[in-house]
Amino acid sequence: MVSVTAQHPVELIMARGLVSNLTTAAFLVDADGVLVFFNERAGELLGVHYEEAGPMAPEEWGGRFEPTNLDGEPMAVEELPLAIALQGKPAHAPMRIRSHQGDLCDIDVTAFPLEGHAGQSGALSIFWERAI
Amino acid sequence: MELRICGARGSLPSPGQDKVRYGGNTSCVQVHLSDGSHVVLDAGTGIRNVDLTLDGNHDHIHLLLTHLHLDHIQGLLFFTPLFRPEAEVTIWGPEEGRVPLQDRISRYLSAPLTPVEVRELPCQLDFRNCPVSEWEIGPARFRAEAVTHRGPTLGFRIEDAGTTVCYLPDHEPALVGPIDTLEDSWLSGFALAHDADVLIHDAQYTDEEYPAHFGWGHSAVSHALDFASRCGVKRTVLFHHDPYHTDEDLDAILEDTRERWAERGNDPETLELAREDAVIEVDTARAA
Repeated sequence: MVSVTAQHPVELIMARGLVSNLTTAAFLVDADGVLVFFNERAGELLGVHYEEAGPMAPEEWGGRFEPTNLDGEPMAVEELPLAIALQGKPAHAPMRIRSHQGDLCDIDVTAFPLEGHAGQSGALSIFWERAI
Repeated sequence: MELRICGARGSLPSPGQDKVRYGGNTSCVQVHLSDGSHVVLDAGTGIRNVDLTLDGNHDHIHLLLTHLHLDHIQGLLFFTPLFRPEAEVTIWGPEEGRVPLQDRISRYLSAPLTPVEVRELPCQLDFRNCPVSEWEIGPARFRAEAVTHRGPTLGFRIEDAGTTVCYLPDHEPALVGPIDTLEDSWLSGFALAHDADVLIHDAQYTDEEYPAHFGWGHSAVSHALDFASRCGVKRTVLFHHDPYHTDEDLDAILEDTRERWAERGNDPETLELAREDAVIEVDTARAA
């Protein structure tokens, strides 16, 4: 038996094709919450390009934005739309984040699960930016 | 393993005097396993060419469908075991939402499209979604993965007696970007095809035709070569020929493609175009 080579599910592969062509910041995580891809605009917010950063564990990338609600109160990880999406439910929430450049940005975040042949394969999150 | 190409045409059955050598029947490949039993891959019109006289266990036939596009199921009602009460037939296919495979196939095998409905078939018929994990049929291990094509579509990897075959008849791996820029883990189909002894792969379009069909779920010849190279397969069989391509067109494609294959440092004899009725011995990698 030849060993099986690890490969992302096709839903993630197709989603990456979409995300890489968006000018809106978008993030892609696998079923374990590992950030496996983000696009150019998301890289500007994170302060690093995906090609330089590679995959990031949830604890590594989740805190980079210092997410709060619009009143400035910190949001628990389980409240974040992406965390909800990883539980299999789509989610949407207004948030305030701090970009890599130090600017506070009010955004709306939409996240939804990606499901396919092998069940839930990850989630996709889009940051809709708006002026503060 | 031994492979018999029962139909190599894509999209539409294409009979005609100018398509005699490569054949006009749509996708179907018979796989003869090491214990003498066999499985059938896809149910295009080529399924009429499946050799049911092979030695082995004919009481239980496994038919694996990559997807339910018409050119892959159009031959179903001409698969004679379905009409034999003593025959046991298992049809495997991709999962799609919560609609059972039988219901999805019944949309085709029902009025007004066909005179016979699934419930009228006299054989012992069983429908199963292909498992996410590997599974066994006879002496062989099978693996199915969703691949880039329109709609839920699987590719198959079959391992038997130390040899490996990968079947990706409808596949557009370059859809998300140039193949040489994608890491292995982001290359659709890689996990199925890596180090295979024989890869049967979509090559419906010439490189010149491909831009007008981008996103349709099929590959240009160059993409098939790129994919085969990346996966390190030993022998590549280009498949799913466009219905407009004549024997003469396909001869020209083969000649050009082999030149390019050789320029990459490969043995040109390890690349071929699928031809209806061809038999491929996987052990020796030589066509009969």
